[in-house]
Amino acid sequence: MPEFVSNNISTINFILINIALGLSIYITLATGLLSLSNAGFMAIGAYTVAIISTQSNIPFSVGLVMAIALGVALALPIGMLVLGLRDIYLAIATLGFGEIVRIIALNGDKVVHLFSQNKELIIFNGAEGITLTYKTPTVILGLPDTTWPILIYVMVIIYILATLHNSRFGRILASIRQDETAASTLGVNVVHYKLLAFVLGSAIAAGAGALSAPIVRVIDPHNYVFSRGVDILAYAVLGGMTHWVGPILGATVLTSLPEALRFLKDQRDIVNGLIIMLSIIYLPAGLADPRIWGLFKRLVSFPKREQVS
Amino acid sequence: MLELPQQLINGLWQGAALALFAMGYTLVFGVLDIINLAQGATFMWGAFFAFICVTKLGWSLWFSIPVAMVGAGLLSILLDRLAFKPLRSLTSGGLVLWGGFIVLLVGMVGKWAFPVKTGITITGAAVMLVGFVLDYRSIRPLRIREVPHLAPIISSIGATFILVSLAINEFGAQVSRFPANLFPVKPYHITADAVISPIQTLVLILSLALMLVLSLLINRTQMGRAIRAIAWSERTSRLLGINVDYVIAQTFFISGALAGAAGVLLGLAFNRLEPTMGGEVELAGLTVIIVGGMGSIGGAAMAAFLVGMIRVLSVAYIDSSFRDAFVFALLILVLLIRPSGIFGRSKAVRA
Amino acid sequence: MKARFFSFPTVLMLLFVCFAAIDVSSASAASASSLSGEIPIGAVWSMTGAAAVYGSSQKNASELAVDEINKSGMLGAGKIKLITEDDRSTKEGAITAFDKLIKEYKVVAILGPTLSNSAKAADPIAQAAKVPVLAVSNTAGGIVEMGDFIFRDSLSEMLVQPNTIRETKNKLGYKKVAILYGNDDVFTKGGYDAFKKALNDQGIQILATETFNKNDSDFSAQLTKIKGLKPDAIIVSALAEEAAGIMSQGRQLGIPDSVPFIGGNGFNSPKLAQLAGPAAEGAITGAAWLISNDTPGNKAFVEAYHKKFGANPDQFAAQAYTGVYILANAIKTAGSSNPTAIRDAMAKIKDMDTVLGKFSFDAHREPVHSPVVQIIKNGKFVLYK
Repeated sequence: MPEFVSNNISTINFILINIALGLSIYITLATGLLSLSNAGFMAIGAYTVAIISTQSNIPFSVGLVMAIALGVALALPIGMLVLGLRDIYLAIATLGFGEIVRIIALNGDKVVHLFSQNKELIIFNGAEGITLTYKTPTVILGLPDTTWPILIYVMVIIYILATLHNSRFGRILASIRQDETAASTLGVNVVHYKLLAFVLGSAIAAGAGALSAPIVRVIDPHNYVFSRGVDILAYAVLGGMTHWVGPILGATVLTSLPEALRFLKDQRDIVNGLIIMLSIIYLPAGLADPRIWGLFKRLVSFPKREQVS
Repeated sequence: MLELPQQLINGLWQGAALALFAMGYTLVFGVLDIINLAQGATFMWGAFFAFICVTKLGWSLWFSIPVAMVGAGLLSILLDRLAFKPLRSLTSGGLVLWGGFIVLLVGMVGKWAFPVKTGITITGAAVMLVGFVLDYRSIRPLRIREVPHLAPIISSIGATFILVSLAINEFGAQVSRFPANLFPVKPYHITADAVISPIQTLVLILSLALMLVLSLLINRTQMGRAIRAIAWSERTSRLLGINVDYVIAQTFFISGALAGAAGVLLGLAFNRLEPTMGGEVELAGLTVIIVGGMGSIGGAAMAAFLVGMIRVLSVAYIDSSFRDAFVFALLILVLLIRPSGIFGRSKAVRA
Repeated sequence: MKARFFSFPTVLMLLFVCFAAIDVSSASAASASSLSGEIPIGAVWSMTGAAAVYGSSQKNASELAVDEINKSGMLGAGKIKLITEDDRSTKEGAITAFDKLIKEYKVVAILGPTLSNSAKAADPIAQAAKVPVLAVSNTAGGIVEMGDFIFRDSLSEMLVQPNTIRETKNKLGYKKVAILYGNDDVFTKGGYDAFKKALNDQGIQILATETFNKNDSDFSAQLTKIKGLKPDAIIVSALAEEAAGIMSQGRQLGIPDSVPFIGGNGFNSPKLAQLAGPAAEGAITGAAWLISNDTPGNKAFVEAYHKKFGANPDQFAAQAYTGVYILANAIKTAGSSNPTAIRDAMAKIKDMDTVLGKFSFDAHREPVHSPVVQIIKNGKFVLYK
């Protein structure tokens, strides 16, 4: 492993996980939905993997698939219930869902005891959460074996989103964001597409939660509080909500910023707040604003290409 | 059940505390259609303004409360100018205001020696003042904007981060309290077993009184008419010659002052002041204004009592671990069945 | 497909450029050397986020101890260089901080982190790198079990509370109690587990178990319920901020003074009496440290802390302060700043004089010193007799 990578492997891991989370909220934002349930779905993914690996011998890869499947299974009915709400109402309903997930994770064993004969059974373990055993990572092709799955996962999501972005699906989502009424007049089944975007976002978040479990190793309800949802939102806001490159930039900058700006470590929250405010006010299209990239392109004088956004 | 009367009082009191906070919250929503998530931070700063007045300046509590209300109201106006106004229209004055704000922050948190620190802070404040005046006087903005609905929410989340961090910088992260004996503590007996403390009584009476005053203000005064006109249509109000910016500033001032009053009183009642005190009340307050119907002041107050009762009764008769789950379940249920809130009306007749 | 600027390879390239950009802080620390020059020691505290209150006490106390040690020449020509990192009260922050301290700053030992769950997430990194960790506030189970480089000087609630319950039961003779605890916090939840076990062992009846959340400020519903059950004593596992609210509201609701509040390490802060005022009178707590201890150096510590930071230290401060001295002592005994040598020296520490009392590590690297039971009288903690 090159020294830079090995010195910063934790930061790189968390950047990758946060990119996945940023992309999970991006897909709903790109449809004009402000859903704040991503932290909740992340918890569902992480707890699924953690419970499976502590209570059974099922391998991690199967656990990951199960976590994503559970995310989809829960997102479908919840999406059907709440997606009729607009803007702020949706934001608050999904926030409420996220909090309920956290409260259930905290008191999971009480729920288990309602249905189980064994009153001493401990699965969720309350505030202490589930601790996974530590394995020293082995290095494969220059990266630890814990990093590879996340990297691949992020690449796959990016590939899917990039393909969608230029497809009919992507254009429909954008049209819903810009004008829901117009889109539905043009014959777009708005409800259907909103649900698809919500389920996709939730599945991505559940997968990211599952993949974060072996890195964080201690899965407790504190990981998934309201402020986690806000962090995820900030990645997409800073990066930009109209192109999938946005959340990637946003997550990378916001995760590495505290490391880069070490001299500011006591004032991190102020800098964070300023970045969020200034970017939403003066840079509403985020870092991935096509205009910024246009400027950048002209500066480095790439051959003239067609603008896409 | 012997303890039922006491539990009902507990619920009533929790409801009153929530109502006090939620009224200002819902007012801004009614006028501008935005959720000001920084209301919790204003609440906290209100409490700390009074704390400074009482402990550092040695003023009496009864003088400090209005001062704190004015301080929180001004803070709220400033918040509008920094976090929300630029989303409605960009002005050159707004840019100057922001520039001054950043200088002020640098001065406040920087670790410089005495004259430099004060110098930078005062320069920042002065630039902000200039920007504020310019911004207010600017007739033609650089750009009138249509931003997505979620922009103000995100912007106010950012503002919360800054305000809470500033408070941690100034007062430390630990919990403080008002000096003892500011307020009598001997509880009144309602029945042999049920008690209510003087401060709780005060909060209860005050929240009901403020509710009354606020609805009179909105429904019976010239200012209230202007606020309602803007809630109806900002553009039409402008054409009718209403000074929209001024009315919006008034609305933010009232909402901030209410939050400030709530901060002081709840800080007194719980003997607890800390920079993060806005966080808890904010989620509960959000539930209240949704359940009450956004923008409806009477609805918010009723919903506050409902939420207070649910919190108390779920602890009393079910299980304290699931208390908040019940509250959020109520929230989602209300949203699904009646998104305009239990006590709310449709948007057209609101505010 | 049209040619796009945001093509796949471009994005990949950008990503790696971003990774490269974060490496602005160059490796600066001195490598391990003998006892001369700077000896880098890492400290990971929660200076922002939910646990910021405790992290700031720890930061203050550890800096105070390092100053004292460096001034006293205890390590000869060597000077401790304390590198403090903030974990933002998160596991991610603790993991990143440990990585940074070990790989970049090449520290010889680490103090912290503040929270038990962060320790569970981060300590294995130090264990794998063979850098000793001294936890100064982790009280949960499963900490020292992570490996032979993990120590702690904070008595776990399991070691403190059986003693508290035994002593108070002998003197007060209570038979039935109610429990109130914060269930979303590892520290207070651990305290609850310890109390529950001790109560069961002593055959004391538990009438009710109520919970609250960290940062709650209204406990009237839980307390009213408890009051109706008429317990002989109320066991509270809470941190000082919540405990103060519980006591004032409990007394206001008419829970008689004859029913004492009994609590754990979380109570042990000057904040408790300060926030709860007269309602805190008679509160009993089992703890690892007593502010009025007559242990060597305790009085000087309390005075120095008060002078420097304008407030009395709490137990978090006392344990962090002790932690620095334990490390310094181990470095001195080892005569080297080799992490493994420090670990070996630390494991052998016996009857060291600290502000916590005579201090030793047992074979499992758990602290051995006698806990105290204290009671608040006239707003001050005094020994419970």
